[in-house]
Amino acid sequence: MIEQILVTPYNEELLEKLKQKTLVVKTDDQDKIQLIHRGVSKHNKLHAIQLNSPIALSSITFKKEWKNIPLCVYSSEFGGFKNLIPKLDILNKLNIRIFLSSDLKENFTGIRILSSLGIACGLFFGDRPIDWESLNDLMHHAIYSQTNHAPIEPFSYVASNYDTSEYIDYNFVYFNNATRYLHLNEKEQIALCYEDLINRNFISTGVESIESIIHKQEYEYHINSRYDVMLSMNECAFCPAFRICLGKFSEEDDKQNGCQVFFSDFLDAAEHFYKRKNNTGNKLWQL
Amino acid sequence: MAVVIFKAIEKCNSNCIYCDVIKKHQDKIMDYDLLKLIFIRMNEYLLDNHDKNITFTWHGGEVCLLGAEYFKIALDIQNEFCPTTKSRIKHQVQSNLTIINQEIINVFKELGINQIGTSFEPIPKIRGFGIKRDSKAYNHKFMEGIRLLAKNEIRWGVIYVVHKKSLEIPLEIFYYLTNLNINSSPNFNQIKTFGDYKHNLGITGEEFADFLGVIFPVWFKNIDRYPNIQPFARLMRNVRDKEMSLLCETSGECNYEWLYIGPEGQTSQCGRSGDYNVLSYGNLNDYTFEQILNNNNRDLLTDRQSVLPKTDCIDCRFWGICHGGCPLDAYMVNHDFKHKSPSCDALKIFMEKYFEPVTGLYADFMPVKQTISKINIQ
Amino acid sequence: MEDSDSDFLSWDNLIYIADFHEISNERHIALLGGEPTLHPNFVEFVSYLIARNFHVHVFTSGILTDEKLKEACKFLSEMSIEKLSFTCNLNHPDISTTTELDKIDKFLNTFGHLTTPGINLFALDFDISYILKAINIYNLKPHIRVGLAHPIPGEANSTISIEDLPRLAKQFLSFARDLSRLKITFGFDCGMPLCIFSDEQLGVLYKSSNGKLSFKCGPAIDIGPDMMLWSCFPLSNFHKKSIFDFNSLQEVKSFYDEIHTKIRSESGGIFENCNDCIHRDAGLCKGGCIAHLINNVNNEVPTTPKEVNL
Repeated sequence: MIEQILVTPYNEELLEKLKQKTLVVKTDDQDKIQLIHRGVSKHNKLHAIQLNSPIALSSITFKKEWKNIPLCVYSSEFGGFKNLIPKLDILNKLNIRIFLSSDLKENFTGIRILSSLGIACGLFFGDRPIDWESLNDLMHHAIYSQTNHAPIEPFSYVASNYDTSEYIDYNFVYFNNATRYLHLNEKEQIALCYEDLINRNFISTGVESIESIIHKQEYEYHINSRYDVMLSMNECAFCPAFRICLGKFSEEDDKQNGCQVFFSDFLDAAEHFYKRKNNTGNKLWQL
Repeated sequence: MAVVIFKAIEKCNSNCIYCDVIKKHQDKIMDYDLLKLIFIRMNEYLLDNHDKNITFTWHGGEVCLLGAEYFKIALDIQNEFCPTTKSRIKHQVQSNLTIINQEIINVFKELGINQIGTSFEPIPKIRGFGIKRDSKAYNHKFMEGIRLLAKNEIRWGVIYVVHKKSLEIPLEIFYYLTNLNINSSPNFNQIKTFGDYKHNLGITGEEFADFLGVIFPVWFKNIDRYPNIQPFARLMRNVRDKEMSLLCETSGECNYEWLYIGPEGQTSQCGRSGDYNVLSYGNLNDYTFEQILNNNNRDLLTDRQSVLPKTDCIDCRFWGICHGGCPLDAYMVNHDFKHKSPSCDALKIFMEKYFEPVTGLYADFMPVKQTISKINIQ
Repeated sequence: MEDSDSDFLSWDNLIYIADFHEISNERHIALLGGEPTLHPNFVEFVSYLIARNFHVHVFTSGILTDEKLKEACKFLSEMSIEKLSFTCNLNHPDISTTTELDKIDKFLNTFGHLTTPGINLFALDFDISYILKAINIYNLKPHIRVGLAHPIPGEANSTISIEDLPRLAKQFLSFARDLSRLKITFGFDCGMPLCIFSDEQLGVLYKSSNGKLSFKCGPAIDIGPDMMLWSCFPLSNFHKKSIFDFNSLQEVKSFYDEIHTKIRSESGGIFENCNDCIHRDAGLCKGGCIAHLINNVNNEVPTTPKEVNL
């Protein structure tokens, strides 16, 4: 079994208890990034630092000192490209993935810009209704575009990991799948996903309980929650693209013209990518 | 290879609307002495036939009603009475999965079972518990069952019975079943409604063909996504790849290979003939496997294969992938085996109306005409 | 990030165009207009394209607002000519306002080292001495792009008539000595016919142009903000196609090459004797701007419906 990665806020007392664990450390303060890196590197393996930026991406002061730090930046808006121009050189040298919210239409363009400039990026789903058409355009660009561009998530993840005989959960991209990531807060309350953490739906408390979580029935139910969708017989259970969505948008109003169209196209694209990857053509005799 | 459809129990915890077994109201469970005799008989057969294997399918009713203990005893019996032949007995299980538990799964694993056949129905009140056919409770238990199988890495596949209500939503059913289990694709079968069937769920061959015809283009377009949907994948193998892959009912070769054993040791051709009480081959208490597998009644099925190409199936280009269909279906309609099955119509319509136009393939499996030489000797 | 309104090329379309060029192995993108610097995202677009390793060439009047110039100066003035260059069409000071001249002065002071001056010939009494001066003052590239105003079929614009072209040739030759003396070269833009110059004149021009004389006319491929394509500016109303109909620039070029070839095979060149011209046969000259040919066809009774549709 792959060792689970703990997604945790930056708290020195807590980190002391998490020695030897692999961590994703979250912060909203860009000035703490180096501090976190130094602190975590002593006794832990750092999977990534997640900066939840309260300011626009283009306003972040990217530092060349972040060069060797695995960084994941979440920002609600791209901001002005002009502000980003002087930072492009540094950005291109960082070990970074940038995520922008789906709430702003400009962010879809921002992602195209970043990707075309070789900066790994992606979209995270915000609170507002999703513009499925724009999302579909971005997905097509991410998967079908023949130009050199950096991966755009979650499309790239799905395209790269798609297998005809497996369900696929793109929430891995957001450190949000309990088979790999567990979320905890400063009080050591542990949740199986970010939403559970926010909603205070904890599976256990105390760092020492981490090892036993995978043996709990709630854990098994959580990681196989697709059966709940099938049992509920809601529209998602009958959707052609369920295998790559797993019912994440079950609250969506007009599924047939929204998420279903998008995810069906997404599934086709992932399959196209999969076939291309696996099509080695006729084998040539060996010299 | 002999295929044993073994029904140690014909009782079921479910009240599926289209089930023929439960109509028998048979509450008997095979006793351990008879169970022992069956393994002794199998051992004799395998010792006498070194080139043969037996596929031993635990069928019901609902087999899990037997409980883990029953399977453990069966395993012990096998180990004791088939010491040198047990490796040639391959166990299979057909279960509705609603009462399966870890203990049963543990024994299944010891019996070498790594996959289970089941059925499922997303439309309410078709499969369910009790008089009201509580499908909600049934589905809940079913999901518990498949969670358990997943945890134990046991594969499972679904047979879906197409009935009148299915006709309204073919694609939804297709997507549901492929979403439910993307590792093992469903097998679509037409509902069988013979005799005093009262639920008005029966469908014609044409309706079944049309049901498949809605799904087929989607499947054909996404053949890699849904690799083994049946009957589509099998038909493709037969027609496109010329690799003959036929089921018992279309092979024309079930005659001397299949065997049903009921809770009291009664035998018949297969599970369905046992359900319909036709084609009795005697009781295992009285006959050996060899004798039952060579029972004279089986010749009726052999004769059917030589008669049909000259009668009902003459000039039928689908003969080679149908062979007149299931003889039991033919019997249930005509009270005679020497007729084609009504399911032939479904195949023919599906092939001509959907399969061939969509794939661009042409099926040519005409019966071979035997030329009889006439010699004038005077 | 502000995106542009519908009159301007959008960010998404710019990215698509850049991708399209990249797929076509074309690393050079020219921005023109109208006046491209008026685009609200002009500086960002140029910076973006440069960041994607394109060479960007901007055709401009050099008339920028102070604010735009300040912004351009901040982001672009340090660029090398391998990444960014301008062509600035300089009108005669007599027909420019003081404000315009002031703005051009500021532009050339900032971007002169990246700029090639240009002149568009639309009257016979033209002068280029002010350009020679500007090259000296602003350290412009010592090369003049000489364009000929061509008719836009269906529109009334100022052009030199076909009959007057030899006079234009003579006028241009009057500056040849100055060009040579100042070591300033020139290049003809498309559509200049070879035969308006005598052999002797051609000899002089050969030297002044560093041997790079061209009398060609072919598809240049313009892309509009609405992602429609056309063959070149004079043909902006003809055979417009969407960029989305093509997979590469090569496909676009082939498409318009075919149209050009067809028109020329049906209509010859702009002069009557183009049909028998051995230099046209040899490919030295295309026979003048194709827009003249379309204009001629449009003024005649159509012979085939296809000709009218051009």
